[in-house]
Amino acid sequence: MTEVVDVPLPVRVELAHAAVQVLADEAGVDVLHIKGPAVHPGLRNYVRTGTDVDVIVRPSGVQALMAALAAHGWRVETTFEAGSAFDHAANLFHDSWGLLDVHRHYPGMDRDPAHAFDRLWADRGSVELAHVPCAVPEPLAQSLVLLLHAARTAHPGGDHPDLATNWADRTPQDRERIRALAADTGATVALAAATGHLDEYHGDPEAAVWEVFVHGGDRLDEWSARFRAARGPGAKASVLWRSLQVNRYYLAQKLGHAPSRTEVAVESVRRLAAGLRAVAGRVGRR
Amino acid sequence: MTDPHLFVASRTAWVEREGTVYAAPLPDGPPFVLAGSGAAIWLAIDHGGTLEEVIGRVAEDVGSPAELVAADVTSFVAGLVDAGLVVRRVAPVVPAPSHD
Repeated sequence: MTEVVDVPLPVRVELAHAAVQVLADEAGVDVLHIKGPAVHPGLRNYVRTGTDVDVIVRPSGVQALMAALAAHGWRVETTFEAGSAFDHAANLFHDSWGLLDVHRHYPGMDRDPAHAFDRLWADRGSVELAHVPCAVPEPLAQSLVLLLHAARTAHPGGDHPDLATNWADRTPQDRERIRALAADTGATVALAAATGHLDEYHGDPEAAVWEVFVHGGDRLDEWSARFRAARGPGAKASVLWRSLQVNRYYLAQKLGHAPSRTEVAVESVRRLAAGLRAVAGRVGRR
Repeated sequence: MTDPHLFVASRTAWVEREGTVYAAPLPDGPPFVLAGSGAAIWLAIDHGGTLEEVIGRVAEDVGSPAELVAADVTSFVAGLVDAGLVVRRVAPVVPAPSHD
């Protein structure tokens, strides 16, 4: 019997799904496994080796799951707030299992994450990953998840390959059911972004963020879109405040070490100046 | 007293790929790699049974007399038990059907 670190990546990912499920069970938290080996056979017609584990956690259980993970050697690499335009996932690493993305909501289904999770959970299925039963969304819900992922994933040279199997090749009845699920989970605009109909929602604040992904844009475009998409003064103020904050994780990656207070302060000034220059540049072009 | 049966522990994750078994105690790991006869022993355990039955299955699998493989299989199984991947448990006795 040999204990090695050189386990093939697809095997390591499958084992990691099982490890996360056991911890979720111990913590009494519901999680849904998505992507990678959790995807229903036939929903991906191409070979793709996943590099990490992805789970959506019931929003009320986020803290309990994160505590359970931390107690068992998972280290946070990127916090929820630092990860993406959607503030949706924390990225963790474990010496035995590798990378894990914990989604506290799924991009596109973020209007009412608790309801969206309930909706996915109600029709869930189960798949054995490394001989451990893991809860997964039912196949049509998996299609919606893959479509929403495709909407924010650039695919050079044409459509994202998940579009064909999960939308174009689906029957009209299936597409209607996916639309209904999207409507019920608040993902109508995001689904439109995935299926090439985002223009129908031009002017909708929610469409702003997706337009950046579909049509391209820089960080200023992204923050501007997040500001427009934020609902209410409190949410808008939060976006504005965070746009000026230094992401310590990315700064550490850039510097190669944990940033000092001075380095954070310098980066804050640089970030503010860059933002002002970008705004001034746009005003000047008008 | 009946001999205990061998079972893959309930908190063990495992995957078989191309004749190699990757098994890990949950939730912390690490994964162990069982190649060759190690994989054969694991798969024999997964079928269930006592140590003697597992030895017989492995012997058949590798085409050797049970006496020749018994010591190695016993030692390997002990290692799996120590690692927490396999447990020994007395199998519940199933009552014979009544013919009243």
